[in-house]
Amino acid sequence: MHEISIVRNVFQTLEQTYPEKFDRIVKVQVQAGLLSNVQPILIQNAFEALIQEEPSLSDVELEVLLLPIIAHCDACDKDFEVKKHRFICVCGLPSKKIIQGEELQISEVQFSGQ
Amino acid sequence: MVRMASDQGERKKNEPGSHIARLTMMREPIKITRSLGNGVELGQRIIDFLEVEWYETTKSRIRKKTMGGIDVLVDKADRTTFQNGDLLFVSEEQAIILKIKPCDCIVLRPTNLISVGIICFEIGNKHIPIFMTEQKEVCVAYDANLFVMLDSAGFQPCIQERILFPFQMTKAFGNKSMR
Ligand SMILES: [Zn+2]
Repeated sequence: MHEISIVRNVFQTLEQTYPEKFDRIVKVQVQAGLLSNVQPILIQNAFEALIQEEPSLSDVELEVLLLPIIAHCDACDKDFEVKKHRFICVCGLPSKKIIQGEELQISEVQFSGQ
Repeated sequence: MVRMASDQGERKKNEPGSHIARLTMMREPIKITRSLGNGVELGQRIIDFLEVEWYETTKSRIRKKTMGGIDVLVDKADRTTFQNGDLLFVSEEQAIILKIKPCDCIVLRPTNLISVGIICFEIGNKHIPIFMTEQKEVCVAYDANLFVMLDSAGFQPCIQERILFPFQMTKAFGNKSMR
């Protein structure tokens, strides 16, 4: 399934990035944009399933943070937040020029000790 | 491939341990292993809240600060789901209660049973949990792609801020077919 491979991928990336202190990770924050097609509940549940497979990860917390959609209005040359799926700037013009909302990334890692 | 955010480089320089890790080490967090009940009489105690997203109620491990600034560590003894209003900690003076944050939801008001079936099938296909309210609405956390799909299929979805209560949840992934 989509989400379980995302979660595995997160920990593979972390293992490559922090080979020395990977086993001291206590918290990982992943940012998912509202346009990323990623469901936080499915990420959390996939992680819970992964813990059962790999007990070494049971001291790790995975936190998913949803990022709002931000679009750019060319007329005003300003960014605006897309609220309630309204891709319309305060000036009234529509825009689908996405600045934020499609990303899926590891945004923070916390380690124990030190 | 899930990348590291671009500001991770800077954070790396700021280590050891990141300032957050160091702060939480200064004082042991209050450890919570299970819910102590719901609707418990708390007398004159000061009530503090641990705010979580609706999709965090199933997590077995949560490190967070309460609204009153107290560090807590949820480390569930079993895999139960927390409910809104669950008592997590109680002492002589204070109590910590779980509060689910409201979020933008796609709300559907199906007019007939066939629509209910199609909607639940389409959403269930994506393995996203559905919340059935007492007002016979179908609620699901806002997702841009899902909204477009439901809108173009003519279900007239609207977006409203709601609290998604775990006890109203119907999930299509309960068959443990995740791996
Ligand atoms: Zn504008």
